[in-house]
Amino acid sequence: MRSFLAQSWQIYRKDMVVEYRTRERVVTMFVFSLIVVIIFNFAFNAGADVIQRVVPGMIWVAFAFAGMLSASRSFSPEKDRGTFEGLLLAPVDRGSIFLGKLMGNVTLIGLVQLAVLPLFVLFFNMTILPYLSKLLVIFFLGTVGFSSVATLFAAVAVNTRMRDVMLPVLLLPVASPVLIALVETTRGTLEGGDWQDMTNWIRLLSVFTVVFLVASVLLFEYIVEE
Amino acid sequence: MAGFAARLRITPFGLICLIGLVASLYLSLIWAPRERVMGDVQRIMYFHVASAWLAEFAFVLVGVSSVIYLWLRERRWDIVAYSAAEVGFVFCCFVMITGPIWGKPVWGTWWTWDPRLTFSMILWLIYVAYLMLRVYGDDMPQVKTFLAVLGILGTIDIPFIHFATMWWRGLHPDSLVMTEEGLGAGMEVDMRIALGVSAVVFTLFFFYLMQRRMALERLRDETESLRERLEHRHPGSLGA
Amino acid sequence: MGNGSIPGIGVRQLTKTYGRFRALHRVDLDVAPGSFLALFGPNGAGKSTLLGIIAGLVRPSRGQVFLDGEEITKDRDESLGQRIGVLSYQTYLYDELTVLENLRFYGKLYGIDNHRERIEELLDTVGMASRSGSPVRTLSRGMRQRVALARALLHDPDILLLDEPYSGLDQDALAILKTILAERNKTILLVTHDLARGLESADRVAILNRGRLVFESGTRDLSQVEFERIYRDHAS
Repeated sequence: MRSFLAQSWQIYRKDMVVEYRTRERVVTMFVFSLIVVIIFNFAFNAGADVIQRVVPGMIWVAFAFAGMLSASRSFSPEKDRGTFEGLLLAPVDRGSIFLGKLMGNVTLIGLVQLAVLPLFVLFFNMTILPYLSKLLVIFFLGTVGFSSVATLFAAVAVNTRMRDVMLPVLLLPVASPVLIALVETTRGTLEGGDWQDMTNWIRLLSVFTVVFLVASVLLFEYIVEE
Repeated sequence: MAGFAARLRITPFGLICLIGLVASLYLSLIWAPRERVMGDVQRIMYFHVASAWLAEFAFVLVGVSSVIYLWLRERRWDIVAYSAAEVGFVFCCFVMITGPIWGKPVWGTWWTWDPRLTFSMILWLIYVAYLMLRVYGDDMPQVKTFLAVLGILGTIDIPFIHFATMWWRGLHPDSLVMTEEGLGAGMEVDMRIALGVSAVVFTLFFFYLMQRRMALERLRDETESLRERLEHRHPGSLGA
Repeated sequence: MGNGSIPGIGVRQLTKTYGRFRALHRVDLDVAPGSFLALFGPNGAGKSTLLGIIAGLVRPSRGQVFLDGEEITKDRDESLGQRIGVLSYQTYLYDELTVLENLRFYGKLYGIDNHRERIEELLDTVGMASRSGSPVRTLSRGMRQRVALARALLHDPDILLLDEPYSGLDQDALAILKTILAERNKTILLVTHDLARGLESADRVAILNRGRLVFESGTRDLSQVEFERIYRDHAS
């Protein structure tokens, strides 16, 4: 178990060093989310009360697509340059490769969320400071759950002819419960709701995250074998 | 009759399904009483609910055979999963078509994001993803494994989609009209009989279609291996 | 690592089909412990598939592979990677990382305790010690291939799988590779197009065509001219 986590950590660290030097993924994800925010603003040219209702949905549409970008880019360069084979040849449990990739995706989406949320506050005049701790829990749970499925399907999609189209087609229907739960809890929190009002959703988020994280770690081994 | 059946290559099982379907049509459309509030359009429920049950059951079948496929790596379990997905998709499409036809006169609108309809919609999208991966991944060596993984994750997902769509609409009482429980509770005995018969007959019909689909897939495999043997003995003779 | 006996490779009735395409068909092949077998064949003959199966990257459809009489194709055992080194036309190196960072990363994945000394020693061997701080992106193709050689030998594997290793190797690097291969303290399986180079260093040669093993022989009494004729006959 220790070496499993240690190997995940090595892969995670390697990915983060590469990302720090190129900044490819973070920059594209950030710009993408920014554009989504602005375009949505045009799409819902509406008063403050309507904006308050649609912002949670906008937030998660932006982050879902940014998350897909991250997941897809966590495999495609490795696959195209042949380094992925180098990882598979190493004497490591393949689940640890998955976990390393997943940690990288969660980190990058988290960074983009940190950068983009203030912009939502700025553009849509939202209040989030009083709910920060609650939002943190929801965002973390949801991002891990969503990224688990996204990372697994990205590893599938990278092998297909139409990899950029296949990822959303595979991922979004399966991830829809977690996206619904994220939008609902984010809305509930921003409207000043208590944990008690959202027990069902939090439970769904937690169970989804745990179940799909475990399933993905176990199934990854099958995916990478030719 | 027997000669006619033989010429159409209908198996005895197929004949039973055919008779059952006719009986079910009679029970649903003529024999069962007219619903007082909704009128004749309610009769579509007998097919809608039966198909909804099979759309969900078929995906569980996809998931179970996918697990067995990953475990044993036998082509026949891949065939079961794929056939179940294709036939299940047909039933799921039927649900998506009959839902709005029923909904229009009852709710006054073709589509409403009722939990059951939303659930069917998401399930339908997962079917689409599965079949798309099969089509666009045809040239990949690992496509069967990928499909099995999608089948397993999709099946695990079913309860989550159930709860998410249910809580999402906040379980309004009017949406209960569409659920099986809500309908069953307020249904007359004759209606329940018609629904029961329709569910049984549709299930039989589902297995009949499965059987035919699996036979077709096995024939394809056989053709392929014959073709390969011929190609090996007389290279270039098939021009492919 | 490196101590104990060197395992041989045994391939039995190995078959791999990709959908309608049969990459390997009932291949039987033995590489004796400490010997060097060169496998030739035209493109698409199944050479890389065979290496992939031995390395644990590809799951065979039927048949087995044995290392020292122990079946490795049944369940993937992580420790398999510990015994096998792969040098391929792909370098498995990350462009954004330096030579040293690349080797350290793999050193940790392979769980090598004294990886600092080991890396230094190998970089000296392949003549890349002076460039250890350079990002791989800035290296020439030949230099990258030398680092790739160091990477493949990092964990001192008993078995060396070479997949077109000569592509991009310069004269000096070729000499280094030859010295390493001549030591004969590993079981080596080479896959290549290069008849002359393969024949010159190997103990045995084999030809794979359309997924079938069509020729196998020792190299002692085999002249290059004769082998070229045999290859033309078998690999059409």
